[in-house]
Amino acid sequence: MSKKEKGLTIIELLITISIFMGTIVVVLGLGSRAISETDYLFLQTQAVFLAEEGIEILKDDAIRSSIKSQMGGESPTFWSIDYEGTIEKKSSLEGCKENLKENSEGFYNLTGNKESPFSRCITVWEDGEALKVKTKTSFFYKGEERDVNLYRIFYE
Amino acid sequence: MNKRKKKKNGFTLIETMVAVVIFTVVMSLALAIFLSVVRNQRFALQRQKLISETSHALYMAKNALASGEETEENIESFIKDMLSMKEEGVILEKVSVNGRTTLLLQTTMKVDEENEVSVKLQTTTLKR
Repeated sequence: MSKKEKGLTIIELLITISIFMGTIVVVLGLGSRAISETDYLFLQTQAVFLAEEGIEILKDDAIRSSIKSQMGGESPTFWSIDYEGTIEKKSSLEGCKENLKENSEGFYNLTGNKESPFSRCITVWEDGEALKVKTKTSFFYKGEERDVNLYRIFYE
Repeated sequence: MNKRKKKKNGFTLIETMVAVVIFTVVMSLALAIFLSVVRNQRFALQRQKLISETSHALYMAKNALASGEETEENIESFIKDMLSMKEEGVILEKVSVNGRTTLLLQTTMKVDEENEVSVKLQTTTLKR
């Protein structure tokens, strides 16, 4: 009988099955990433809302004047603020990190008792008569820091 | 002669059994992974839908409050009208401080009999 008519050996068969199954497992494994992608989508959506919230709070004249009075010629200045009107001046952008906490009602603010995945830093600097504001909301995803940035100029 | 005959036999019983056992184990693993992927996809789709609906409702509510189109008292029904999930799956917390209104919207949707997905979003707007 010629060599070609022998058929497959057990080793060849096992290798074939392994390659076939390995391919299936890799393809299916890629599909399982979907759930973690929605985690990212959720964090990013909340970060956008928190960034907008930061800008919205600055629309309040009282908060804006309070910040302006503490700027003292420094440019730029860094701030943590929350919906309750708590204002904390920070020495640097880095110093603003990990500043949002969750309170007992579930709201994100500066005085809550539970850690949240979000930090928000508001950078304010004067440009002539205008006040320039940048809100940076950050969160960690798969060990990497991701940011959502919003800019706004407030004219007097 | 004997040698030639053995080559014609194909697989032995042991070889066939080993192959069948390995094949069964690998197939079981592949099936388990496949079912888990299908389940995850269902979760992901529902969560994506929930994030999309919740963020749209919150965004519209924020704008309606800021423009004075809706009052704080009516904002809960305004939000619920925009959401497709049952009323018990929607929790709205609101707080007003110095003319600012903060909304915290939590929505929950069932994926199957035992599991559900949930999303919580917060934003603040100035009242008119």
